[in-house]
Amino acid sequence: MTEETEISSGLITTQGLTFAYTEEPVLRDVSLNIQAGEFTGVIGPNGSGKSTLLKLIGGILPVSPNTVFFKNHELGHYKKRDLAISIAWIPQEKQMAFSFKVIDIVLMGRHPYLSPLSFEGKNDYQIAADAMRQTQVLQFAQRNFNEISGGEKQRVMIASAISQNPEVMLLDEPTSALDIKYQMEILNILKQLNEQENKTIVLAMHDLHLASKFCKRLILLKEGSVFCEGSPEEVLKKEILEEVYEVKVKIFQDDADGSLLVVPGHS
Amino acid sequence: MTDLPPTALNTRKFAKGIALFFLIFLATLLLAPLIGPTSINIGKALSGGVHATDNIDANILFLARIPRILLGAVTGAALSVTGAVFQALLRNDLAAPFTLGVSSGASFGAVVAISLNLNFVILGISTLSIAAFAGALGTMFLVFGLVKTRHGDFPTSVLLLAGVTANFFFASMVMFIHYTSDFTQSFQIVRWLMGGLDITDYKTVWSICPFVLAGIGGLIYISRDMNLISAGVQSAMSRGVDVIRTQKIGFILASLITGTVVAISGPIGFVGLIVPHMVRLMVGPDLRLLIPGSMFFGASFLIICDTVGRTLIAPAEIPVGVITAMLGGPFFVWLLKSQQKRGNI
Repeated sequence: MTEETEISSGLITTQGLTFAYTEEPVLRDVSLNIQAGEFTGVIGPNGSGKSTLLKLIGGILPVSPNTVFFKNHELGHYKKRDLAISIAWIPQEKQMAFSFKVIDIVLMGRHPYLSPLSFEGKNDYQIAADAMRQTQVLQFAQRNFNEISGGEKQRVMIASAISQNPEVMLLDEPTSALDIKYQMEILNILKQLNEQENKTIVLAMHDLHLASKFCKRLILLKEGSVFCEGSPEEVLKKEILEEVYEVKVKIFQDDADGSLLVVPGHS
Repeated sequence: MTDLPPTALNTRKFAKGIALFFLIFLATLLLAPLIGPTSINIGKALSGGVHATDNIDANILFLARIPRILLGAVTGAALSVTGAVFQALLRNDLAAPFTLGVSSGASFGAVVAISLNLNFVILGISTLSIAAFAGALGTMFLVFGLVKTRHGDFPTSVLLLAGVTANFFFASMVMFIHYTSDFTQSFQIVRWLMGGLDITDYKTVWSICPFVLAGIGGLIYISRDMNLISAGVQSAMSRGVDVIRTQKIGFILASLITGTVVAISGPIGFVGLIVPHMVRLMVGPDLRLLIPGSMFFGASFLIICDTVGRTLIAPAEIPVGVITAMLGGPFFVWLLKSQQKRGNI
């Protein structure tokens, strides 16, 4: 355990993290620190390893020893239940095989708090209702999850994660399939969770403008490695993006909030 | 304050659901013995006791009907629960107890026993049943042995393919043995493959009951974990479910109880596919209610089908598997339509 205390710098730390689904590594030697209370965006081209990185630090994919640490302890040493109470991983919304109601899905966030053979109690319902109110899906509680829209589904998934009451929320492209109204809704919910409840937020995303608008820190991946990281101003630079995305870009700044607009195709 | 109507599954709703399905089961269990090709005087049957050999009413009731009804109950319950569990764990509507090859393995075992003329009884259980159970168990290990867990999950498509392959392989082995067998054996084989509940002793039922009940109990114990898996494997992991362990326990327990009843009753199709769908349409996909609901409803369903089978063209009998499809099909269509109208699916 002595080695573990030496790298005590972040809430989540990865050290030389490498992962391969088959033979070709999807992530190579990734070393990162994520501090408590951060709002971090993971960006990079398709296939750069964003989703895989989130799944690894979320405990969804198996990690090799001494590569991922949560609160200075190896991720793999945590009981699954204890980890679930600390870290929630939220996938991109999709159809389900069975017609669960919205309330069923949200209550599933209470699973790590319940013993086998027990039902959700008043307290669990209260927490679920509060989470649904927070993401504005309470009115859908009795609707079939498969029948609501994509943006509503994503809000239900976030409500489910909120009712899990974790310290860290990892979101895999929560806005990629949504129109701009829903994108703003989702990101504002996350901003609120970050600012008012001090949740640590890490999200993978494609939209660089939204990333610069909401994230305080960006991690840019290229072919499974960290290309660079820092504030949006430090990462979203013309020469960096042109090298990583292999496309000419021009960068504008929105005077209203200083967020950066990356426009492709300008030579 | 919450203005949330408590319509997700809670203790009260659960108790109401279970009570309803239990009452249906109880009614079926009490009424089915009274129905049959020969009308019996129930008062007379009960007056003489079980072993009064001169009491024909009692003989029909206690030796012909009740054991058969009890076997129908256990078989229907086991197949329906297995169907519900397989559908949830494989996240596939079309999964059934026999999807992973258990029934064809059992058939192969039985057919081998028939062709070798192994026809005796060990510890009250026929060698035919023991061979069938061994076949079911062997297939289960074969199919799961073929599938390697990968990144914390059973790849369900590989599992399904392995099951389908096992089904075809053993079906062709059965045909091969059937083709080379003599006339008596051939008749025995066909009868076994049709499935049936015609037993005349209680010992068989009591010998499989504990296994089936223990298996269902175990499945209920992990039902909330399986709920989460049915809603998404990776989300389940993120909520603290040990997915691999739950899948293993679920598949093994479900295959065991199916193997147990198939060894006695033969492969009775359709029940395990259709009953979980019926119950799901009534109570939703939550396995905490779906499993016990399917248990009681599946038991009732198979008893009713068998009662129809033994009375419809009496004194001849129709194999129960034929009735399950003939009755279950239209009923399912009706249920599907009524639920669509109400917008539940």
